[in-house]
Amino acid sequence: MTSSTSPSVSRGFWEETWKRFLRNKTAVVALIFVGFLGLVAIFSPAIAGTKPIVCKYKGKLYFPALGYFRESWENPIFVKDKFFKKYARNLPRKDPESWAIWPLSFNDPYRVVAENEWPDRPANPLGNESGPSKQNWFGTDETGIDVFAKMVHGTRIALLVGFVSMGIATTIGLIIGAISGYFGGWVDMILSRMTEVVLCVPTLVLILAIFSLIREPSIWHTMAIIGATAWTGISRLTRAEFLRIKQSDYVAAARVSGISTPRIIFRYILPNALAPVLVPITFGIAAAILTESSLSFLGFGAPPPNPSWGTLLSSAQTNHQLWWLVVYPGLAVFLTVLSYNLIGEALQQATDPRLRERGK
Amino acid sequence: MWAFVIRRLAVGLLTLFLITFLVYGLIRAMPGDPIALNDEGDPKRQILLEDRKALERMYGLDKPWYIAYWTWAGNVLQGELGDSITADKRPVKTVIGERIGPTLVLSASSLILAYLISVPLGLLSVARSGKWDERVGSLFLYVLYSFPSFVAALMLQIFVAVKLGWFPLQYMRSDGYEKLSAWGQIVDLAWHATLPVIVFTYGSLAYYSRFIRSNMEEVVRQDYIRTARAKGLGEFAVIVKHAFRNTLIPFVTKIGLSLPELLGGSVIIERIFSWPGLGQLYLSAISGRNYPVIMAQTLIFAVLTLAGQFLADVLYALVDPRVRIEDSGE
Repeated sequence: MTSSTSPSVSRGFWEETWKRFLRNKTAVVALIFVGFLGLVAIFSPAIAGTKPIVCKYKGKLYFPALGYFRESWENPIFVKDKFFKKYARNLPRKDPESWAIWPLSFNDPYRVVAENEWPDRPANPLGNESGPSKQNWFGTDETGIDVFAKMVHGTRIALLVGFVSMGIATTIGLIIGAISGYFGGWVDMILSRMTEVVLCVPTLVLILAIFSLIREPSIWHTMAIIGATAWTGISRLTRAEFLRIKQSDYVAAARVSGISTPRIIFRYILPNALAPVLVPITFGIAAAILTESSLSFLGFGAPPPNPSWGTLLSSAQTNHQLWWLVVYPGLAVFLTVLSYNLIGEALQQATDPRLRERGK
Repeated sequence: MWAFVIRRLAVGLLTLFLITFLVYGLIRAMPGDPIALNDEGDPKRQILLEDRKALERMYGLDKPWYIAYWTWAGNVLQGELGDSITADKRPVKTVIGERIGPTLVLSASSLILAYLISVPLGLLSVARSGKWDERVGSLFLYVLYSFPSFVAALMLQIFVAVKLGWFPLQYMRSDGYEKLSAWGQIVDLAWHATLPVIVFTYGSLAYYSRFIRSNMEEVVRQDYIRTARAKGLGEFAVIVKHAFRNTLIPFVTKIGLSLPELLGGSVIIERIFSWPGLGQLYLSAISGRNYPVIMAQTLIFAVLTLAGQFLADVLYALVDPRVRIEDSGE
């Protein structure tokens, strides 16, 4: 037990943690679910879309579906040839020799699919008759856009929000926590007050105030702002760890042998302070996803078209008959948050020495 | 002890100043003119240039924010929160006062419900620890804890309010509320409050019972619990009298820290249910750039948060002598 936590065999510590994590079956299922979401996000244009994954057009191969990731990745030839994003109709018309491989579900997350855009396919239904069907697996929203396609493409946003905003929060939290814990004294006093202020200022004011100052808000701004407000828990924990570890003999030895302060902080202490910080980071990812979907729900997220799960949920407010607008995206938010919480809980049990001993 | 309390109080006041200063700067930096925003659309209320100047002077908008802040802070110290920047110019105190009731109806009843249910539930799960019913129950509580409250609110609205028609979809009162008898009014209010209270309660209920459980798990391993069992006490007496009493300190601290929740109001839940509480007021104040109202609500929230932390710290110091020793040793 003691040997596995000592710094000389720190790799052993992470191996041990991983082994303990794997013993928690629910957490492994949760991890698999997050991995599945990752796959959905990466392959979203191949799952739902109206652009071919691969097509041969005028003797050349193209990948128009990549346009869902970034508009500029869609080959300009299709704009030049006046496709107007209607590939299924225009490909055979403009080049009878062409062929294409299509996504699993022929539906677009940003627009309504019109009648006969795909041979013999009726237009997307609207209003109360737009429930789940063979054509629209999760139904369509009040404007007729397919819910399944929106959710598949919204997975990208949900995962990105979690990782990017917590990446920002972790960087800020680790640096502030490390500095105030290592140096102590008035530096600590000032940084602790700062943390307290950020903690006490209502998050909504902070987020809305910063958001209103941005000319063209995008999903990246939302991520940055969530990250800039979510670091307080991480910095408090890092500070406590640094207060404890800086008393250790090996830190004193490093200091006596003339190693520079930044090196001591980042190479000597930080790796040993990371394990307990991992837990609030995981919970923070869940919270960030929740914050983003709440913000989009309130209408303060990136402007439409933005297939965030929260935006979908808010469209359910206009017509209370459309239950599929709540159930599917609601379950997606719930399962994602639950998975991250389960992973965080398992990490806590795997890294906390008191709980580890108990398990033996 | 007194030195500790006074120092803690001084630090709290400093933090309070920093928070209000920062928020004042932030909201004044938001683009948008509050006077124009609150008078838009109505040509009769097109404000004359001179009236406008008078209004700006009245709200301190003619001065830069870092100077206007001091006017605001000075007024607050004299117990004056200013007037709302809406056409009716009512005092902020009245505006907030009429919203406190609706918010308290939801927050207080859900807090009481959460405590009433979570204590026996948490203790029960300790008593049945490891058995299948406890495992299923704990998993269910965990699932509840992770269920986003606004998703739950939307689902309850669609399935319970619209499909089944058991509860009203929105609002706090029925149309003919004034004509009802006193008892009828209470029933009507409770009927409207049921769904929002459920949404407010289930998450904290799950959280508190897990909290009680994890605290109890440490205690039930202690030797004195073994002693109590060995001398033949019943399981109820062991768990409630011997174990639970010793976990009361962190539990009471948690209650102190949940103080701001009482008057925070939930922006998103109140909006979903069109509940006329503080959360809705806050949202409309922010979008209308109603500075005095935003500042007053921020002040209330910050004071409650800091007071909760202060109370928790003092309680800890009172109970745990080590806190004071460490404090004087610095």
